[in-house]
Amino acid sequence: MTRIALMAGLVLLAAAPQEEPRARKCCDANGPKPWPGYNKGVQWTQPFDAAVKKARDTNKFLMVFHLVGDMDKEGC
Amino acid sequence: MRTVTFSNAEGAKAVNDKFVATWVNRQPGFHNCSTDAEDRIKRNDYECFATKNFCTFFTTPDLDVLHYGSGHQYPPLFLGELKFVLELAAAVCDPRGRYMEDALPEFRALHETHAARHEKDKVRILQATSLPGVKGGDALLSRRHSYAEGMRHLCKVHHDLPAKSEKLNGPVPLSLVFNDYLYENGFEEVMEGDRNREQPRTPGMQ
Repeated sequence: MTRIALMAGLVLLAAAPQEEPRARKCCDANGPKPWPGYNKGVQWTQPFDAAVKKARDTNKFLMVFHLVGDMDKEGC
Repeated sequence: MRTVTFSNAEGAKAVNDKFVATWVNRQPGFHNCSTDAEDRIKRNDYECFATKNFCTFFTTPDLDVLHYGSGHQYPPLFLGELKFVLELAAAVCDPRGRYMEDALPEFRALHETHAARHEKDKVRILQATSLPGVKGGDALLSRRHSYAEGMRHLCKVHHDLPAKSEKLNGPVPLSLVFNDYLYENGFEEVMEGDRNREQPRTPGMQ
């Protein structure tokens, strides 16, 4: 009896939908698909020259993020 | 830094309060859908990767470099670096945020003190038998290695900037390190055919 229950369990487990692979499509031909973890919170000033001017006007320091990819297109 | 670090509420607030933030893309058209590293950063599990791929610079309004870090860091580490930058800026800049003429001794002393902290942190992590949020075995070994690499990188930056400043007898301009920043591992996302492309000049300095 236990053996039959165990086998039934294994059959059910095999038939259960598998978790999707981790890779997800973050953009398509229409542009980026919003992802909740992407770049929320920091207010960016663009372009660079405008940021420098703003820093000089406000006496704030600059944070310059040098990256590969376009932040405003969510890397797409 | 990867963008998910900037989604951390405490880090974002610190950046917005004290800095004007801007970004520069050296690979227009580059795209990567993978979020594996982002997922790890969100788990707050000592993610640190001192790669050549990204670099975050902190400068005065006159574009004199206070500090920088290549690659990405999980939010607590990034917050620590932000706090250091503000502590340093308070010591070496005037009330308008400009680097003061006689600031080198203080600039060097604070960088060295912070380098010593990273050195201790590196030893602590390398000796750790477990890390919160990190499974044992290969994952733990890999995280310890990557984090220690990140600490080595920050130590080098803390020693390099004062050395450059001493040579220049003044602050280090962003143009000097923008394309030649230090990094600890050479991983870089480059589009096919772009590897030999000339590096962009520092923005705003053309």
